[in-house]
Order: sequence, then structure tokens, then C-alpha cells
Amino acid sequence: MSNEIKSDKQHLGDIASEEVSLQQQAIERERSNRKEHGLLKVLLSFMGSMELAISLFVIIGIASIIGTILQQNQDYNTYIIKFGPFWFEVFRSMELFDIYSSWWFVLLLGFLLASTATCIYRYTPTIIREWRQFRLNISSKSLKLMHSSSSWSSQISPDETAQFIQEKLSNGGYQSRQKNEQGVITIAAKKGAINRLGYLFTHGAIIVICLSALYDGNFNLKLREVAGQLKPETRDLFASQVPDISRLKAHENHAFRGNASIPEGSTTGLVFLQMRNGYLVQELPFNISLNDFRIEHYESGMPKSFESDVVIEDKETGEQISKTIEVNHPLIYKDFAIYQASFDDGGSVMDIQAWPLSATEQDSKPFNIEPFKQVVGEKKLIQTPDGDYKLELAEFKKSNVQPNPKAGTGENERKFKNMGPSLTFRIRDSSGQAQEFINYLNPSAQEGRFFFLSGVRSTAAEPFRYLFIPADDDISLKRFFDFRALLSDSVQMKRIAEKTAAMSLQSAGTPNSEMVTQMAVVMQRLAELFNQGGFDLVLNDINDKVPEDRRKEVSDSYFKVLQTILGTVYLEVLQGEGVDIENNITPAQERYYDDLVNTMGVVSNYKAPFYLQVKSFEHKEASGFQITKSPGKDLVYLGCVLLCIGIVLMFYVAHKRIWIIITPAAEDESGSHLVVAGSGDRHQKEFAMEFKALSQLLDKQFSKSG
Amino acid sequence: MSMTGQEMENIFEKQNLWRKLSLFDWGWAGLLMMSTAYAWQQYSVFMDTYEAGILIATTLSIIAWGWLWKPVRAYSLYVAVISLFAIYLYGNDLALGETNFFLKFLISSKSAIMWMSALYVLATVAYFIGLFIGSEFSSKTASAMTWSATVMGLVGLLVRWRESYLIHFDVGHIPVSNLYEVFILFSIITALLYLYYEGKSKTYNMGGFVLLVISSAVAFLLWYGFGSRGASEIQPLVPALQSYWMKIHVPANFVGYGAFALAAMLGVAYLIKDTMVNRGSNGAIINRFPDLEILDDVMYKAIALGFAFFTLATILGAMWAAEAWGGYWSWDPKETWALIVWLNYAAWLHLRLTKGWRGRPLAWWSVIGLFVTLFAFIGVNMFLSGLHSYGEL
Ligand code: HEM
Repeated sequence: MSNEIKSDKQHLGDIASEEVSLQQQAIERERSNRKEHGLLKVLLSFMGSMELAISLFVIIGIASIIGTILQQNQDYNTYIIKFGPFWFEVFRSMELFDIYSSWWFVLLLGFLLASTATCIYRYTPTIIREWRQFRLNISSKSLKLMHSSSSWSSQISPDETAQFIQEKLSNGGYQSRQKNEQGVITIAAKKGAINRLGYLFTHGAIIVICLSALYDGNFNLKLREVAGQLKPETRDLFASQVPDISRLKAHENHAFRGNASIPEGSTTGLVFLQMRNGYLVQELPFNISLNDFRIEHYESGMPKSFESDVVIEDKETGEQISKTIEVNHPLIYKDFAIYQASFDDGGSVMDIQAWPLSATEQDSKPFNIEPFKQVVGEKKLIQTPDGDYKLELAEFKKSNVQPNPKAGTGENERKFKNMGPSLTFRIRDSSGQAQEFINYLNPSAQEGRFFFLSGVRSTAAEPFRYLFIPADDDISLKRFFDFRALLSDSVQMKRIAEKTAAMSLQSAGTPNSEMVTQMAVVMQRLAELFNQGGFDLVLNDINDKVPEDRRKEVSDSYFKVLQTILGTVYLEVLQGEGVDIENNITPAQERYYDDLVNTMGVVSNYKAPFYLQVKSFEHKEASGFQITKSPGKDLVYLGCVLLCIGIVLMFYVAHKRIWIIITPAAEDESGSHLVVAGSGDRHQKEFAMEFKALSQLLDKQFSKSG
Repeated sequence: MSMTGQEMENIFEKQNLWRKLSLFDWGWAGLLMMSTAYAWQQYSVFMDTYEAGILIATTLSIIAWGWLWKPVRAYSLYVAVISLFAIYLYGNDLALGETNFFLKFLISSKSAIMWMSALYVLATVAYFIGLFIGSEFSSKTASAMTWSATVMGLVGLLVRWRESYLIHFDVGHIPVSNLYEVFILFSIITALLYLYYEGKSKTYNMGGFVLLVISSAVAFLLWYGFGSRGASEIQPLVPALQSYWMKIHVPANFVGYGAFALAAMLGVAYLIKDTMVNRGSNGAIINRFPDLEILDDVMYKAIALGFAFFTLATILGAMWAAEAWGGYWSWDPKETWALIVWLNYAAWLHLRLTKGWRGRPLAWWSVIGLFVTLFAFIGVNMFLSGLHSYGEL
């Protein structure tokens, strides 16, 4: 330490060598007073060394960087997928997935604390002395060695000179002391000595902040985990099923940060504390009930505010408090703070109708699923002729506001439009493969017609590809699926194909029963191909079977035949709806046919065994709260205040010292001789200017003497 | 602000602190207080206690700032007059921004920012011309352009503040909420810090270097704000950002960033000069560079200032986090990078103050420090996710 100070001072070249030795003496005296012995001395000088401090800054910095690059506290599976099992194990054992509460990071912080504390311990006596003392024991020789140093001779007596100078110094904001030894007057003045305390404030602040933050952290839980008293739960359980080893009683834990998601109308008395890939259940000394959750949106659909009406009921006293919690406006209850953190689905109930989409089982009767209800977030097994599927309802959104692509084209076009509610769900087959879907509950208008939109994708990284199902006259899906069902019913299709074949041959004027049968077979087959794979499949079939030179001719006639039978099927569907198909087909019904055929043509790309329609829903929201207890918070803030004060003192209060030694002139004269010198410590430039000002002032009064 | 020997002499004479203030100083303070009173009378119903506190503290700080650094008085008057004129022209109709001549071409937020951008780039060029050919005229023009750019930048921000309220009352908010807005803030704060030291040290020759970093910010701003992202559109605030804390936390941070950027550019100038001098080159250009000692000293002052503000900003951020996210420290990437930046400059200051390091190594360190700072500033938004995920690239 003494070396450091010396090198500093030497570099500054500002303070006389005598002064350094003075300071060194002080430090030496301090050391011998404390009777530091060999090992302790080495330890102290290591812990208090600047090298250690800088190294810690750098190491903590690097560790922190790793923690920002490697996302912390993710699900362990995510890491395994990302790094492979080997590196996962390596990283896990180094606690890289939860760096900031790992033992080695806390150890680093401990070192930082110890090092800072050592510095404070060793330097405080010197600092206090520097702050308080005036240093009257200085020789004129050492004054002359200082950077800023000058001499004057004066006509007036030493006493008067001293008085004059002390007044000026006090005008300049200096405090001063004087000493008179055998007629030689020494004045020592200082200003901004409180600067020295900045060191104690900043370094003390670091200790206060780190200790309080450590107290608020979850290190105690880690210790108990090591001791085998606690074990984070990693399974997806109901809170009530979580075993005792993963539970904490209400008063068992002095500090925590936990989460609770409370559906509207429900009550909870516990929170979940996340610990690495698991969680602990923390009981609270009170129950929280959510009476109402409200969310407001901007025109763009972005959330504007969310707030929860809660009632807190103390478990012991039964005392109740009602309050509304908003983002940025937490509720403080006793030592606890309850924050509005997020919102979620609280178990909305979907009233679902599944329409079969399978086209592969032509001969079996199309399967039928009774309408059912399912809660968002839950899973359900659905049996189809193609096998068993698991339906997982992932997310329900009550509204979907999107930028309006037509904005700005007409006077009344709004910038945003609301697509209405949507349901996101996954259909997982028996091998575990899943497709994700998003269905909009309300049909949306496209060029004056209405379509039901459903998006599909295989991975979350892809964009959704949308299927547009035309809405019928009743704005429903019924006609589309009736058409589809009829097309898949081979008995009915045989009848229709024969009827159509007969009719079309009749109009061509050649009724021949063999030809009719042949044509009916072709028709039914084409319709089946179309049902399974749209026009593409029909084309593929032709390409496979027909030599190239005849393809165009064949495909032309096949498509004509296909159109004919599809038209007949459509008319039968309309007839089934009670439409008078001889006289009264509306233009809308005609257009519907085109949309229908277009959609049918691509429906095979929509890889789902059924189409899921949400007929109605019961919306229920849940409010996500963060509940914390951090007894160290106020101490952290106190540390922060100390830190700020310390920084201001250290950088913005200039510590300056001025010394004046006044000796009486030779006996026969009445005047005196004075040496003035000073130093500005870390603010030499400012001090040099101040010294210049002082010199100018003294020049007016006295005469310069070299 | 430069103190002449004459002013300094007063330090040791009996004097009254207040007497140093001129009539203009008092008039200016009075004007500010009157404007504040007017703002209070008009808008106090919309303010909570904290916001009222911020209003008053802002007024007092601007008064003190103007007393300590005189050019601030004229600067704030220009900004106020132009901004008020723009607000007056707007009235209650945002659409006037497209039709009114003054707004469309001069002082709507977007136009003002365009003027700011152009002026900063021109000033950079002019500073360098001044440095290379030794033209005092060019340097002074550059300085004037930097001042004007800084006026236009602040006008742009203030008018944008008003514009956000004209979109809809609910949308209105102080324009420090996304990368586009804070880049403007960064540019003007860095420029103001530079202009302070320019006035104080009476040398124009650092200007080109400092303006280089501002010009880079401007380039980013134009690409980001007016490119395909349309980030210059005013967006409403997500609930977490709707807080008075934003008004103090963000500006404090940018004083820090601006000061660190300034220090880094002085570090560049230092390294160039030092290298050339060591090689024995003694050209006119190198001689026109400021003294190494001045560069070193201003670099230290800038880092000390930046460190003070950055510490304050981090603390304010922690307090805000304690109110919005449920914890004063969550090791969110932005927070963590703020700590890294802080540790970096703490190390820098320790080396200078206790080890007596000076010159080259610290100049290098402050240049590297700029990259650390830049990462905390934009890299985090670009590459990492977290609670600060607004303003993503
Ligand atoms: C708020 C942040 C800090 C600031 C502004 C700061 C500032 C300073 C200053 C100005 C000195 C020189 C003291 C003097 O000679 O008067 C110093 C010394 C020192 N600081 Fe810090 N410091 C900070 C935090 C820390 C931390 C966290 C450590 C932890 C290791 C630390 C370790 C040291 C050491 C080892 C010395 C040398 C003490 C000696 O030579 O006796 N500082 N610091």
C-alpha cells in the first residue's frame, strides 16, 4: 500500500518528498500500533491490493457477460437440445445456467467485500487524519520543493502579515491554523478536505450494498439445499401435491421473489419460487383473492394498462384489505410487495365442434365427434379412424388487432382492424409429432365474401399458412363440411356418379349403359382423387398413367368430367339445405361453389384429421403477480446514497492545501519574509489557477523575492 | 466556461456569491420560474407528486446550469422559442405537420431532426477542415453548426413530445422511450458535453473527433428511424414504461453514455498525437492537436462525470425496477451490462487515481470502454433478450 501511495505521489511530482515520508511514517506508525504480524500482514496486503481489486472487477465483469449471453434459468431440456448432453453436464456442474447465484459468483462477491473492507480498515486512520489535520509541522525547505511555491518580502510585521493572509485565505474558503515558534509563524490552510471522506463513503457503500443484496438473495435456500433440507420440485404438479421437502412455511424464509397466477374469482395463499429448473412452494401469511382483472388496449391492440382488484386476507388476524394493483403501482402489505407482473388465461372454456377432415377412409362411415367443452391449457384425447390424437389448447385471445392493409385508401378506413377472438392449439399424433393451428372464431370478409381462417405450421419458427374456408349463407361451416362428407361417402358418390354420367351422356345423345358405367367409374375415381389431394393429385394421376403426347387432351376432358360431378355433388348439398335448385340459385351460392372448389383443392395440405370450430366460449383471465419480500432493500438504497455522496466528494470537491511560513526579516528591519506553497492533490489544474490568483493578490501587497 | 486571471483574483477577496450573477442571469432565472409557474397552472392536474417534483427540480437544475455555464442561457432560449413556435403552429391538429410550410420543412419533429443530422455531419467536416488546414474560420463555423444542430435536436425532441399528445392524449409521453429517440438524446448530450469543454479549453481541434461519434450516431439514426423499420413513428408506451422514473432514469443514463463517448474520442485524438509525436513527426496538423496533457485531463474529467451520472442512472434504474418488476436487481441483460460498464470505468478510475496511470494505456482503455458502452447501449437490444426488450432492433 505504501508503495502505491509513493508511486502516485512521485508521479504527481507535486508534493515534497518530505511530505511523502511524513505520510509513510503515519502509515508505519499505524501498522506497528496494530501489531500486524507476518502472515496477517501478507494476507492484509494481498486482500487490500489494487491488483486484486482490478482483477475482481474484470473477473466479475466477465462472469456477468457469460450470464447475459447464455440465457439463464431456462428449462434444462432447452439447454440439452442446444449444447448436447456432454456440454450440458459440464455447464450444469459449473452452474453456468444460474451464474448469479452460483457458489463461485457469490465467492467472488465475497472477495470483493473482503478486499474493500481491508482497504477501509487499513486506510481509515490515515484518511481521518488527512481530513482533520492541518499539518503545521512543515519546513520551508519542503515548501520550496512544491510545484506551486513562491516567496515574498513584506514591509509589515510577521503578525500583521499573518493576519492579512489568513483573512484572504478565509475569503477563499480555506480553514487555517497557525503556529508561532520563536517568531516564525506557520500557517496551514486547507479546503475541501472532506474529499478524503469520499473514499470511505464509496467503499463503505459497496459493502453495504453487496451485503444487503446478498441478504435479499436466495443463497440461504441454496445452503439448505446442500444440507439436504430442501429440494426443488421439477415435476408439473398442483401446489397441493408438492411434497414437504419442496415447501417453505410462511415465516421460514426471510427474503424471496415468487410468482403466482390467480384466475379471476380464485384465491391463493402461496407463490412459486423458481430455482434453476425447478421450483419451491412458498406459503404466504395471507391469502390473495382476485376479484377482477382488467386490461385496456390502445387502438393498435397493444396493451395500455392492466390492473387487478385484489383482496388480501391475513391468515392469522383475518384482517382484509382491498386494493387495485397496477403495473408500476405495487401493493405494499407489511413486509411484502405485490406486483402486477403479467396476465394469462385463467381457464377459459371453449365449446368445440370438430368437423372430420379425413379423406383417406373412403369406405368407413365418416367419424363423428360429439361437440365437447375443453379448458384452455388442458389436453384431450380424440379418437379418429386415422388413429388417436391429442388436442392441446394452448392460447385463447379475445381480440386480435392488426394493421389494416387497406388503411389510408378510403376516408373511413381505420388504421387497425380487429380480427376477433382466436384459439391456438396443437394436434399431436400418436408418434408425438404436433402441428400448431390458429383458428379465428369469426369469419373475416375478403372481397365481400366471408371465410373462416385457420393457420397451420409445424414449428414455432415458421409463419402460419392459412386455409380459407368459405362461409355459407348462414355464415357457417356446415355447407363446406356437408360437401366434404358427401364427397367422402363412397355409396352416395357411386349413386351420384351414375346419375351424372347418365345425364351428361344423355345430353350428348348417346345413352349406352356400358359407357355410362365406365364413365361413372371414372367420375367417382376422379372425385375421390380430388377429395384426397385436390387438383394436384388428379394431375399426378394423369401424368403417371397417360403418355405425354395425349396428356393435354386427357386432362382437359378429365377436368370437364370432374367439374361436372363436383357440380352435381354441390347441387345435392344445396338441395339438402332446402334450396330450390331448379329455379333459385343465388349469385352468392354460385360464387360459393368456386370458393369451395378452390379450398377443397388445397385442404389436403392442411395436415389435420379434423377441423376445429369454437362455437362459443367463456372467457376467464388470470392475473400474474410477483410477490416479494426483500428486507435488505432500504439498506441497499442507503448504500446507494452513500455511494453518490462519496462520488461527489471524491470527484467534485477539490482538496487543496496551502502553507505559509513567515519569518521576521533581519533584526534591524520591521518587515518579514514569507514562503507560500500549496498543492491541489487531484485537482492540480484548478489549484494552479487558485495559486496564481493568490500570487497576484500578494504581488499587490508585497514584493516578490524569487 | 473559462476563468480569467481577473475573475480568479476575486476568489480571495471578500465577496458575495450572488454578486457574480448578472442582471441577465437573474432575468433568465425569473423567466424560467415564470414559465414553470405557467406550466404548473396549466398542467398540474395531470401530474402526480413525483412529476411535480421533477418539474421543479428540472427548473432549478437548468437555472443552476445556466449560471455555471453561461451559453446555456442563450441555448435554452433558442430552444424554447423555436419549440413554442412549432407547438403554436400545430395548435391541435397534427395533420398541419404535412401542410404548414414551417412545420413541414423546418420544425416539425422529423424536420428538426433532419436539420440536426445534416448540421452535425457538416460540422464534423468543418472541424476536420479546420484542423487540417488550420482555418480558424472553419473551426468557428463548425462550432456554430454544432450549436445549431444541438438546438434543432432538442427542438425535435420537445416538439415530438407535443406531437405524441396530439396523436392521442393516451399516447403522449416523453420521447426517450425507444432507440430512435434516445439516439437523438445521445447526440445532443454528447455535443453539449463537448461544447462545454470546447468553451472551457478554447480549442476547437478536438471537435472533429468528437463529432465523428455523433455523426455515426446520426447515421444509425437515419438508417434505423427512417429506413424500412419506420422507428421514427411515435408509438404508445407499454404499461411498464408508464412511469415518472423514465423522465430521470433515461436522461441520466445518457449523460453517462455521452461522457464516455466523449472520453473515448479524446482517447483517439490522444493516441494519434502521441504516436505521431513519438515517431518524431512535427507537422503543422499534429501541432494543432491539443496538448496531450489537456486531452488526458479532459478525458479524465469526462469519465469522472460520466461515472457519476451513470452510477446515479443505475441506481434510479434499480429503484424503478423495484417498482415495476418486483425487484431492484434481476440480472436482466441490460442491468448486467450496466454493471459491466460501471465496473469497467471504476477500474479505469482506480488505475488513474491510486496507481497514477496516465496517458496511453488509459487512452486505449477509454477507447475500448466505448465498445463496452456501445454494447450495453445497443448490443443488448440487438443480441440479447430480457425485460428491457422494448426498442429492439
Ligand atoms: C464506487 C466505486 C468505487 C470508487 C469510486 C472507488 C474509488 C477509489 C479511489 C478514489 C481510491 C483511491 C483512494 C485514495 O487514494 O484516496 C480507491 C482505492 C481503492 N479502492 Fe476503490 N472505489 C470503488 C469501489 C471499490 C471496490 C468495489 C473495491 C473492491 C475491491 C475497491 C478497491 C479499492 C482498493 C483496493 C483501493 C486502494 C486502497 C489503498 O491503496 O489503500 N474500490 N478507490
